[in-house]
Amino acid sequence: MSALPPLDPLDADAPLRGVEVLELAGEYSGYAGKLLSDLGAAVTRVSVTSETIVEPARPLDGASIDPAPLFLHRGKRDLLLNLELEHDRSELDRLVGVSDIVLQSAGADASSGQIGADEIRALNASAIHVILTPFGLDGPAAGYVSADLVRQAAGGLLWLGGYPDTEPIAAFGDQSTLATGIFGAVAALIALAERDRSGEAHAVEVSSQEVLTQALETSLAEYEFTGRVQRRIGDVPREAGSGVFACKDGYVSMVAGRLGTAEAWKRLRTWLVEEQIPEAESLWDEGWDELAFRRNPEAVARFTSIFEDFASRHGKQELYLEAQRRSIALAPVNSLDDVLGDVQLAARDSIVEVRDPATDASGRVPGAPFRISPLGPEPDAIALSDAAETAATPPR
Amino acid sequence: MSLNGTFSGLRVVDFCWVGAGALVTKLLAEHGADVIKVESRERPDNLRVSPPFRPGREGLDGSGYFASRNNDKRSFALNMRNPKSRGIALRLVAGADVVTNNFRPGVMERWGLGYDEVRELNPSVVYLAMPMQGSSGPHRDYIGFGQTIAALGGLVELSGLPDRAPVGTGTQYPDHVPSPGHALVALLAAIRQRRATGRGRLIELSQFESTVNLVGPALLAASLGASITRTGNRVPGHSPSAVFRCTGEDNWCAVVARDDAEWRSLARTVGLDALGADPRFATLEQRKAHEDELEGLLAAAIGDRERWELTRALQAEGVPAWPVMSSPDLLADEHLRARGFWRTLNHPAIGEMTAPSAPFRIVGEGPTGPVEAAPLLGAHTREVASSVLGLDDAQIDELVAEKALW
Repeated sequence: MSALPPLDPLDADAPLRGVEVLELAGEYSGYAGKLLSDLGAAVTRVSVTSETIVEPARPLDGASIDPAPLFLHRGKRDLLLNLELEHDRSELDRLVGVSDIVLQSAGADASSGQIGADEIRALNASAIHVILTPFGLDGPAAGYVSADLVRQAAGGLLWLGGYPDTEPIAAFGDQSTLATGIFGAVAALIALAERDRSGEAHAVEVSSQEVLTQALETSLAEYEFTGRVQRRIGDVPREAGSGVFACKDGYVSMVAGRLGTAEAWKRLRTWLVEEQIPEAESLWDEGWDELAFRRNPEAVARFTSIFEDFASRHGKQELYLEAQRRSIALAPVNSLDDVLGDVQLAARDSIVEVRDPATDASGRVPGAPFRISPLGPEPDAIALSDAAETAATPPR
Repeated sequence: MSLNGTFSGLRVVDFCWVGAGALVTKLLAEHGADVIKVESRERPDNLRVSPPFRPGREGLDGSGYFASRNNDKRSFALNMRNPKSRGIALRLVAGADVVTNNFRPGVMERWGLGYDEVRELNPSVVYLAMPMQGSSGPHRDYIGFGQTIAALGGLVELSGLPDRAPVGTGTQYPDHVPSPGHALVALLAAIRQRRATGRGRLIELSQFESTVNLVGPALLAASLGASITRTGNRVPGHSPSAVFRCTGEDNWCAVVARDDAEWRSLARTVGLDALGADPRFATLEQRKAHEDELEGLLAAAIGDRERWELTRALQAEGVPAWPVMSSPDLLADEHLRARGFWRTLNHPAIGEMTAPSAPFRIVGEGPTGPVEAAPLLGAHTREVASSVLGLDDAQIDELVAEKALW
């Protein structure tokens, strides 16, 4: 398989070429629209001047540039409409009329007065209307207002983050907003598939709280099966071999011994012994092959002491390269500058340069999160190959 | 009206294992696709041996981790280490609409099941590969899990308190939301195009690149010279943005003021009316300048409040607030229950277990969600071998005896 280049949304064969998307500017719709745009949809983003548009909080202290246009809205057609003007109202109605998908942030957080679901239905009965909300459109808390921190609390992700001796600490970077945008795009495409199949176009709602419950890993089942409530454990590894560990110039993250990596746990101990780390030999003593033993706080503390003794002599990149050479799942805890300098991302042209027309400043953003190959052959050109005929014969 | 059958007739041959890939095909299965999960006793999916287990229900069929990601799929036991299995796998993918995997590059190719080989056999196939760092580049063979991918992508370093070590996201977050979500977006688009044109294609989701998108705005700022570090629960643009202890053990409430009016409402609701008019806190800029003091005053005022009572009082005034929900809180949450979000599945080895629905639904209807619990290992081997591959009982018996269908 040859290497796939970064996605080109202008490719004539892009999967969503011909799909018209109207993105009504709002808290969650930006990332949903971006993903559809990445895949070739024609996305028109409409901001309305007669109301306050709630956009995500921006982690941009010290930056001179607004990230939204350059990261979220690249490739979209941007319109600013004043709905008190008849011309602008007609333009919005026209856009609804030609759209396959209308993305709208709603719920109590959304700016009101854009356009209602009934109006969209009346203007275009075949449009998919995706309504992105904090808590859904019904239920006792449907009218509640939110921010990223509150949504992470409501969805359970916040409970699992942070240190045991402090309050829970949220995941960085407006994750609930981005995650809701991702599943807004998923919902839009499933509704589009349903329209293709049955001819029925639906209004679909997405709940940010429900999106985040997908991130809780084993905590729901663990509580239901055993009564144990998983809690935040902070910077202490959950078990010997897996967790975040200090090294010479920062931290590394490692998974060795769990999720089917028993061999990696052996390789890790071999590595420590080869490096002649004091007491590393003791990790081969009875008990250390058992996950339950390695989860004992004393075992965690002992392993951490031995490993960090070793890691304190090496930088995170050095540990990364050597661990991977030994087939151990270890990665550096990267800063943003580290990410920008990562050789793998550079080799794949995964970070792209963008220029702000207002300031002429140029910066770098991630390219699309997925890549696609050229389209396969036309159906008429398909002929059964020898391999296919061979494969069609039952094995004996 | 429902989305349960949207992908009825779509056959997915699923080589995904562990977390991120399994969630992609789970959603397709919940929406009607026939997802045939190819797995084996010879080398079981890591999740089948991963806790949690209900006491007394340990074993390859008892994992709650596995069960939470594989409902509504069929399990086809195929031991790829048996020389006969490659031919069987080729026949399976020859009739597939979609083929999926999240192995490292080279594994599917070694089995003769790489995209180029499968396309030769099945030119219209849509093929999803989810290698950790992509199929090219110097680190293409590197291994990892959600936790290490989050570290690589910058999420771990930026999550935590500024004067403490980074803590990350608490779970293997990239595996659960962004990587399956991003893969689904591209896959659904390609499936639609295939329906329209009869032409398939390869989709590649580098889980590293997927995760880097989650810090996209911050990465842009950093590239322009901004110094972005972890700030706990504080974010630009909001103040306060904090979590406060309430009455009871380990009970907390997240509270945010997005503007000055919300701040004044917050101050009034927690009995700090005078603070609402205090010039030290009048504007966002001023509150940011005195954030330690502000949070200290609020913590003292909130400490004797019950978390739900506080939440309702604040929400009544239009202030964003919600208790920090643990697993038992979520399972009992009256809002999620009123929305019919949780379903009960009866798993043949585990017994009853709760499963979440899809996080979207047709407006006015209940959610689409799981119907059948995750399959026992190989539960559908005979059925698939017979109805999909056309093997007769004698052929199947022989392949089982030889541990090819195993």
